[in-house]
Amino acid sequence: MTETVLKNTFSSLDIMWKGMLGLFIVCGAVAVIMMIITRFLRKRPSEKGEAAG
Amino acid sequence: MEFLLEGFLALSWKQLVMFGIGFALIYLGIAKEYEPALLMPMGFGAILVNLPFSGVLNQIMPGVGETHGVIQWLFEKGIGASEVMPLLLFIGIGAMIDFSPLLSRPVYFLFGAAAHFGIFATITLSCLLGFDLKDAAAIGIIGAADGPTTILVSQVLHSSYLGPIAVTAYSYMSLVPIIQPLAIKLTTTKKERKIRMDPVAGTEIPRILKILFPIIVTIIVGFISPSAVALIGFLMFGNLIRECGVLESLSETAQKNLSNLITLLLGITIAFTLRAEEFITVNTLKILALGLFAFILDTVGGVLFTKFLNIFLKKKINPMIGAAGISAFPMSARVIQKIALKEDPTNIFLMHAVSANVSGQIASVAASGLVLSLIIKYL
Repeated sequence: MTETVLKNTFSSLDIMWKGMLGLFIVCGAVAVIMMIITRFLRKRPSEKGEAAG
Repeated sequence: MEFLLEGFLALSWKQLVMFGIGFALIYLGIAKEYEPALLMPMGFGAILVNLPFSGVLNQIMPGVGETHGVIQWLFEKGIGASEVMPLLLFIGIGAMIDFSPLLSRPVYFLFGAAAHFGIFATITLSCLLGFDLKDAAAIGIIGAADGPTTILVSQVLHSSYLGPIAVTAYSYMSLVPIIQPLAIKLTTTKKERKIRMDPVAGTEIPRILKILFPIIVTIIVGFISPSAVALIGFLMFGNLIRECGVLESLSETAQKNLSNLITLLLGITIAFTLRAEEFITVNTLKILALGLFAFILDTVGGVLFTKFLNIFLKKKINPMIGAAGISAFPMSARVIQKIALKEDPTNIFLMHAVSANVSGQIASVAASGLVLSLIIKYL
């Protein structure tokens, strides 16, 4: 094990946890925003219907 | 008559090996139908670039000076200078994908994230095997299971191994029906593989949501991972053309003509990196092994994450759905459904698998962008 190999390996472990965390944040954020918009869009027509009646 | 023998006399054993690899790629593409649109052109290109004094590469001709070869020109302009070829292909891919199954189950986005663990694990293993960080990152991206993404990231990082990485990525993408069942059976029990899923195809998605989706994804990924803007932007631009409803002709062109034209040239252009002196190395064998490791760990990551989620859920999710979170679309979804039907012929959950599979398309691009953003801090 040379010093460079160890240094690169530790750097890659740092990239691993930050990368996976970032990936879950990106995918989670998209999922949450799409859920909110979907709920809003589903709620809107029913509100209009109630107002009309 | 010596001039007739110049080519034969200049032939090296490495070039002969490359002819063999070229024939093997052509055989796999045609006889086995493994990614024929890419492996066949790459195989033929491997023969073209390894012929001695080949006219498809730049050459110095006595008395004439430098002549320009078409494959070298295509590579330098289409991939080397701007990565334009894989990016244009992304417009076509975006126009082909219907994200509706995912939009009816947004939580499945998380499976796409989990099933890209193989990328990061492979980067670490590559470093342990002695590759420098840039090459290790390029090798890890094989785990994105997405050819254009792999090519683009390798080129951005100026990896010395673009040829072996591209061949490995496309070869294993076509071997998903063999790799995934193996990894799934190693990490799941028969009881888990029999977990039934609601076969409902999902709810009707409002058109406005389909139009907003590519814009929102681009903005979120762009803020968190600026290096991925070109990739995600072109993918989502293609999807916006598809979903806006007023560009039918452009959508059709992107899906068929543009994709076919770029695919036609991409394989033979990548062959520039299959020159014998670059390809025939011990590291090529290491990359083949690391690519397999990446695909297996992607699948394992997706399965284990689903099992983890099931600890908190009343209605359990079949862990195989998590394995469909890799980017090989739609092959992975089909493979998972096939395994499920073997275990229980009445357990039809293709739409669930497709939902996870299309999330993998976005996750693979986001993961690649994150790798590019993170790695510059360590170089």
